[in-house]
Amino acid sequence: MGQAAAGLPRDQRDRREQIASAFAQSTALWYGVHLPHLGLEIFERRYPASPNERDRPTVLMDGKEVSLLNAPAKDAGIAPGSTLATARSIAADLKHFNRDIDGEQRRLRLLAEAAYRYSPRVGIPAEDCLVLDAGASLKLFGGPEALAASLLALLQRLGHAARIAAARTPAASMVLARAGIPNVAADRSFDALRAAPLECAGAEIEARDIERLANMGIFQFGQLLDLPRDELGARFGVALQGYLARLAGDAPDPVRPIVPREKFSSSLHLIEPVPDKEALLFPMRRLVSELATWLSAKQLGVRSLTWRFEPLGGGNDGRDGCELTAKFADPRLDAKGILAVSKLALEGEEVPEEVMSIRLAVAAAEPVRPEQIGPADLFGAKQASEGLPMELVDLISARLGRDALQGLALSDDHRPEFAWTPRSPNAKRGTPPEGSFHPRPLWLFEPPRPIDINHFQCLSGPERIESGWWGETVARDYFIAVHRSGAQCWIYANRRSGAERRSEDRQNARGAWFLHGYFA
Amino acid sequence: MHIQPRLPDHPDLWRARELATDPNRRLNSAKNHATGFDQLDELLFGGGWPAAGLMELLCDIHGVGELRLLASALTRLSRNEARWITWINPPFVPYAPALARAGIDVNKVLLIHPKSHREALWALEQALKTGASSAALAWLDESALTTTDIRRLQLAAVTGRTWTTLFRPASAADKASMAELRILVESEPAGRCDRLAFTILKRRGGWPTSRIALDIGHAPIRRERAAVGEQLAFWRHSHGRANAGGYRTAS
Repeated sequence: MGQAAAGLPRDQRDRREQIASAFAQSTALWYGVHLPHLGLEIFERRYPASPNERDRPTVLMDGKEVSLLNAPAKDAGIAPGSTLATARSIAADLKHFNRDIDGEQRRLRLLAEAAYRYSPRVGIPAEDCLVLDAGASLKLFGGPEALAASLLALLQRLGHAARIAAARTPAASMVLARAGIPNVAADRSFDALRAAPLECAGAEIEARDIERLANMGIFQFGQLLDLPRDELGARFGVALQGYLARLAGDAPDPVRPIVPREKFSSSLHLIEPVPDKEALLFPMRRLVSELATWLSAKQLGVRSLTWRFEPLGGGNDGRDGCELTAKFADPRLDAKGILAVSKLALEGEEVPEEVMSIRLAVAAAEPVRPEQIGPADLFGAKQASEGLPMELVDLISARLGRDALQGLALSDDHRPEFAWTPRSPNAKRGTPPEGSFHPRPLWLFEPPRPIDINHFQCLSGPERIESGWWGETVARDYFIAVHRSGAQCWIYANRRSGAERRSEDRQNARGAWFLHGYFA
Repeated sequence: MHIQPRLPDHPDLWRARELATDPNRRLNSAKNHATGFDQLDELLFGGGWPAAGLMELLCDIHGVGELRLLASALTRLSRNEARWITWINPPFVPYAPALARAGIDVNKVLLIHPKSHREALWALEQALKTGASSAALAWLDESALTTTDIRRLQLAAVTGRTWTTLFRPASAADKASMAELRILVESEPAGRCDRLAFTILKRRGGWPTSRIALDIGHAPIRRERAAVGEQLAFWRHSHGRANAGGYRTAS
């Protein structure tokens, strides 16, 4: 490079050396992944061709023009840019698809998530390219070449032909990938970039500008980067100026990293309809183990998951599928427990007679407690933890319903019936207030029962409780008494006070004494 | 290798001569939950309520102190173990302030209200065999309960290491049961609410006992009196201190 630069004006030479040294200093290593046939590949995946159809010419139409074609179509002589009619006249058995941009983006997103295993910084800056910064994980994957080979193999398994190139900036890596320059060692990427044709910029340089530059005799990035950038900006607009700065690493190029979805959805289509619930457990087990793998990789757990069972005919003939939700008190990630609760939930549900397809979906996953991930001890039991075993709550509520379970909580009130509240067993636990100073029975009656005081012998009392003017007013004298059967009881007499006297007389026609609990 | 010399060391084996009154044996296998009443502990195998097993509390009327009998062990379990204290089908509301007063952590109390006997049995078995409960208290439908059910529950209690108490009416005493401990609880003559009478109908390592009176101490009245006494003592103490410090109220 030094020799070639010798004849240049001083400012051009300085600029070139500046970029080269910036490239050499940067530690980031961006891999550009170009998927040239993505548009066609998504259709090949969607409609797998039978063996005898594999040689059929296939084209992808973007608007009215052929934009992508497979090898047999190319062999037949169809050129990109021709119309469908022209292509048909060349190959009569032509198969064509209309471009599905949304589908391409979805697929690209999925591929980006697959590439997430190499680096946390994976972005989708263009509609045909992914970039990932693997500078920090090179050692883990055995160097730049090994990483590129592994990524290429991964994409191939997923059904995509890709070109991969490495560079110090994401923009440069995309240019190299589009140019098909198999450059994976970043130290030579600047020279490779200089040789790349301008068309490889993708949508970053407008086609009109590429033509104008070609008219000026500028075909390659090297020529363009040598020109004074301010003057280029004045003539071609700031967009080009900015792009070149990002390409050379002079300006920051923030690539928005993808965030892998916190969702799981997988379905199984059965070859033969499943007649009963017992047989359903086998495919369900497969889906649950898939889910468990996904959860443990992400160290997340689920609180709620949805099963969907579709009958034969997919519900077209009036028979609908059914949906089933399994809920957990704590986020869970163990396949066994998830399946057990799903099974219990299934027992209480009506399932279509002949199930053909099963889907398992998780809307949101949550972090789990560290001890849930940790290994079980020698006896298969998890290490003792602070939390209570929520598995029991899940099991019981899956079969008996949420209402069948209740926890207890104290509340600060003098009125006996308001001094406790039912609580959901998985609600957050607070530190309980101090228990009452006065004796309280272990069994409480709700509501209190009217009694005949003649059957009781008072042992102690009274304890006066008068409170609740803001709501249910309580004005009572409590006594501890023994019933003639020997039961120790907590009884009270309503105090007759003020305005309430008249209404009380009506209410307590049988007498003012009530049994409120047993000292069991 | 001869198995015979090692046989007496096996924890599950007891011999008729090791009767309940032998103090050494209790020390050896003091794995059970102490009841909090020395008089009762001495009579029970392992020195307390079965830590992993089923017991029956036969009791015809509520309010004779049947829960207070269990309270001390429940308190210790609720403090020491991160497992539920499961109540299945309780006849009334377990009153949280009274539980807290007895020292039981109410956060660990789980109430299960099943709709049928089948559901109750299933829920109880799950609560036991999953090992998610340190203690379980259950009130089942006596007319539908079979010996086989009790056998299953006993096995589940052992599997999950749960102290399980089944509350049954006194009439169940005549029926055969696989529970490892059966106690009949009755009230003492009226007026003595700090005492109850119990009869052990079946126990491991010993014969049934006759009716024994037990001072259960946690009598509501006694506690109240003690509390009033404490309060008075506190006032006297602080009053005396104030004088000793030479403070005088301005007149």
